[in-house]
Amino acid sequence: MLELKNISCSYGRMPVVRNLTLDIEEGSTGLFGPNGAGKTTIINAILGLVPLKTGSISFRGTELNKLKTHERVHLGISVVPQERELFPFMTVYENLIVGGQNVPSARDRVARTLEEVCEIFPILKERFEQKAGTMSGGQQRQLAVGRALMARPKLLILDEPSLGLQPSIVHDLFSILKDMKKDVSIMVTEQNVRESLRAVDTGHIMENGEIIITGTADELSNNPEVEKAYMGL
Amino acid sequence: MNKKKIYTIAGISAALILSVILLIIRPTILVYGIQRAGIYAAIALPMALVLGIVHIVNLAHGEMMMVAAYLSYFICTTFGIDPLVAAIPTGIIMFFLGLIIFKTSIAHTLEAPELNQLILTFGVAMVLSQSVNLIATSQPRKISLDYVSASATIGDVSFGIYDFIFPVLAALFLAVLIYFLKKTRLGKAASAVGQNPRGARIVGINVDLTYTIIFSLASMIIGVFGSFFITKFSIFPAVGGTFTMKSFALVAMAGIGNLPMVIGASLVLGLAESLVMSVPHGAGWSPMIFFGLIIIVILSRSFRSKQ
Repeated sequence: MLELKNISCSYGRMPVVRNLTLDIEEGSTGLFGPNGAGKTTIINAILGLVPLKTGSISFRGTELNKLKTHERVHLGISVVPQERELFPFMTVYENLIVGGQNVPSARDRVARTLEEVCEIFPILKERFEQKAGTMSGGQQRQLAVGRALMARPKLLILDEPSLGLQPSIVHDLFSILKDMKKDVSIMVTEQNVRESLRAVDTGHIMENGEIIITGTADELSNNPEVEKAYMGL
Repeated sequence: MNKKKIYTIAGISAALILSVILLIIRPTILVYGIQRAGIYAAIALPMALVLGIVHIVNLAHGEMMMVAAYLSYFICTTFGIDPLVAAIPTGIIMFFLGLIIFKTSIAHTLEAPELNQLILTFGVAMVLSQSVNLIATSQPRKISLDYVSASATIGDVSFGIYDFIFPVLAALFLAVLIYFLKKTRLGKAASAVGQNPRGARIVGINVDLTYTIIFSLASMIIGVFGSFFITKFSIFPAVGGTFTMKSFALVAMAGIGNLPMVIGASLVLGLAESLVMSVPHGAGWSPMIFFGLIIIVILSRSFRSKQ
């Protein structure tokens, strides 16, 4: 579905992602690793927000290298960034509508998608008139996921969705993601490996801009190296 | 109720209270104050739009209005049409002039430090004023129109009524802009870009195109205003500079992105200037008013941010 071939990215002279090749299949995929491993940089590279030094990225057969960010989103890639990147002075309703109206393939079905999103996140319907900037961190995270879903993406990428959230909300969020993966392919980057492995089919462990271990969720759960380094066992 | 709404209501209430007091003491101050406020609001609104969405302080704002006024002047004198009719072609030409200015210069400094943007737009202002100076000379030009001198008398008070076209024009600009930003897909996308450009890219908005359209749209509004300006005032190449400064002061008073408050700030400035001008020998002091207001606004903002 999404192919990253030998990509390298850097900030100034500091290499962050080194000659990385990654194949994201349909279903759900996790990208795990500590801070500074290069997870967010890979997402920014997929969106075209960070230039590639080498390599290429293609999505469902279309090469993305020369496309602008909005064109990549129009192809069906939606991202829920770590910082959420909501529109703080717009209401919850306006945030959701903006999420659906600017993707041509989703524009005609905004009303229906809105109902579907509100079924997944009922709190959003209750807070329709509230300004996004005044919501709690957990609610903002739900709004960010809801806004991304309004674009009816083929691939939903979530960058550290558990960051800054209390464990019960993280648990609920991953349960929702687990249900959602029937309808949309999901790629999630996380430091919280234990919780994330419940929601994904396959996973990749990153360190220093490289993938060091790849396997199914079960394989990674039973890998002693992963258990020791990322699950605190 | 959020802070922005509270400030908007407070600003408009202050202007209304000042208006009522002036109406009782000296009605002419109120009349001329509102007329001045209309001029200031109409020219400041497009700057507020650009600053709120594109995040650029356009120091060529007043010079673009001056160019629009000259364009309108030449359209009127060449084709023998009224400036109010010439507002349409002038607005269209200014849309494309704005587009060219944006794409060839400003678009390249969007990611640059603010100082670079200020220097660039200052340079654009110099190019525009000197180009007009070369082409049209510095000789003031004016179009004489009979309907401009229409007046009315209420009780003992006589005043010109044509100048009320400026408050009407400002209200029309505000209504159109609010409708555009709240009700149209492009407008909502522009609001999103103004609040969070990175977030806007992530939801599929073409941010670069939005910037271009908003800057061109603001230039078109400046173009329409330029045509109205020539109906009442003489134009010369340096006429725009004052309006850049006053527009910036008003936008700073109103708060970035707060379009309705631009009207409130313009009323405060217009009425205060009119009040000072009504005092014997006060006319010379009226330009000081906006300097005073901007100092008060900056000091109060600094005080609030320290708190």
